[in-house]
Amino acid sequence: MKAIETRDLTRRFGRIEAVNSLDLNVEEGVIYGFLGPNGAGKSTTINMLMGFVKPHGGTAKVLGHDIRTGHYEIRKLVGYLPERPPFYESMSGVANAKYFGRLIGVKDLDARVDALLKQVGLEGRGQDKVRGYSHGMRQRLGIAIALLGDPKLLIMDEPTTGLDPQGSHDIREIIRRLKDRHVTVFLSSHILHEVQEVSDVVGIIKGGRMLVEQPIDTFLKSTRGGATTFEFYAPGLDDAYADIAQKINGVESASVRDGRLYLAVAEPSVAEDVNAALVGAGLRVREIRETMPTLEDAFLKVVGERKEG
Amino acid sequence: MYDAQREIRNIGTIATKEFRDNVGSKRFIFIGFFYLLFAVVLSLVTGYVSKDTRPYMVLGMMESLNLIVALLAVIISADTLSLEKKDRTVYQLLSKPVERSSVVIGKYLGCLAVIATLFTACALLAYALTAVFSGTMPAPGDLIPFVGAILAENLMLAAYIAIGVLVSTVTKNPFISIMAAFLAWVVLFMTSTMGNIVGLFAAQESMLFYAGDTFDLYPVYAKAMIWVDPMSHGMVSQLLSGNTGTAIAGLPLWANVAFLLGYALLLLTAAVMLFKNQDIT
Repeated sequence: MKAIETRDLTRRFGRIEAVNSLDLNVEEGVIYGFLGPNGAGKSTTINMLMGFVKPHGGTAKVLGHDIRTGHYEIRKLVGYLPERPPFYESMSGVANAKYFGRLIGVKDLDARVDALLKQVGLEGRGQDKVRGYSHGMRQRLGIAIALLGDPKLLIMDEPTTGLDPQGSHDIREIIRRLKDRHVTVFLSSHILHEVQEVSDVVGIIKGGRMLVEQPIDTFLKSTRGGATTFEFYAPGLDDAYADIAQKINGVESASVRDGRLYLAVAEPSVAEDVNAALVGAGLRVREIRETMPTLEDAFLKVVGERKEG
Repeated sequence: MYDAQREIRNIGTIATKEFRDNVGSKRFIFIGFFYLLFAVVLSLVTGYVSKDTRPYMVLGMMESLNLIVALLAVIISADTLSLEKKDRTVYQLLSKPVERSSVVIGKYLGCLAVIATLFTACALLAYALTAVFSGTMPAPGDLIPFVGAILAENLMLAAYIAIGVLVSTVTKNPFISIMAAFLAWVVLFMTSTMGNIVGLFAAQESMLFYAGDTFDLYPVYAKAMIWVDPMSHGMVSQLLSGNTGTAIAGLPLWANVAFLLGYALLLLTAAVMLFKNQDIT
């Protein structure tokens, strides 16, 4: 059974097709990065999966339940973290969590709330009114509430936007721990390096259509073309060494930037020839690393938004 | 699968929160304070002026304050859902395993509990004060008319709360929903007042030779204008007089009860259906 599966899922707003025949496949237990430029249809897709808006066409199942008829069951199994998670401002974090916990039907609610607030780093602040919470504290509380029902699938909409580095790191850690517990995480985010760090699979949509849906490694490799790229570091690297590398058979490009040599080679074994040539030319090579394109590079390439020059 | 037991619990959870939120709200404290003040004044008047009446007759006087308590009812319920939409807490609420119908019903019952508590508390206080001021102590025979009048008044308020909840369902902006509910309250009052004026004008020639209820002489459109306002179906005087055969708005007690019940249920059903089929965007 898939955690999420959509076929030809469609939703229009007036003349605009916000989601257009979307096919989405999220296997159980994976962390799925759901990416797309603004207005791509990410939020509308999530809103349909959660039952906030109705689809105009196609089918969708969440954990085996049809989104048109099985919302009640879906919500028992799914945790949801909305973008900029909203709360009842005049209530404390604990009161918010307990209110939603009662609606979920959480057993031993007091202990569960205490444990989750501790897990997300809100212990000691739970009794404070939410209106006094920082953005990071709100995100943490939102995650605690999303996890209250011990969900099998967690849908997170921009969970780290606006967080400081420590906050982002903590949330990535929480996501990793969920993966260890075989919880499926559906992560919609604009912060691509974070998606790259935690995701197993990425799906990129634009204009409401799925452009790419692949395991992240496969996707990154596919976007760099046929070449393999390497990065060399050695003290004293300059353009002369790039010229030496360029002359070796199988080297497609070589350039030095910021004291590092960047190579694109037809075969990984060519890097060994380059290393031998550089050492032979008197360079003390200290580091050789195969590099992958960043998710940002790959994303921009796919959505066609890379600016030339 | 629909889990009735769970939904009843959810309705209770939502209603409890709604009750707590409203009891602590500034508008409830403000309007509630004036209502309480008027109730005390009416107790004084009833107690001192009508020394030989039963203390529960103060409820008849309190019926003249229906406008205030009806206004509080529509205003308190008017933003119950629109505020959730504006603050986006509706996303948190509807992502939990709770039926949308339970959200509407829970909020309705929470608002009803607030208004019923206010009215009942004020009625009890007024009753006690009237007894003290008039020197007529409560008697066992007071119980039926007193409880009946309180229930009747709460039924009328239930209809107003249904108006507020319905308005709240169709709007996203709490300010607009409160203004719309206020407008509905004004329009209903004006319509019934106009219905009475129009009815009297239409019936004035026949009234001279008619011994029965003049309401019977009103044209149907004037009657309809009166019936559309829940306040026209206030049954307190029917119950306090002990003569339930007396007509209010041309209707016997049972018909007024049925009308108000139907009124509230119809509007609440409309609110549930609207919210169930609404896109939350």
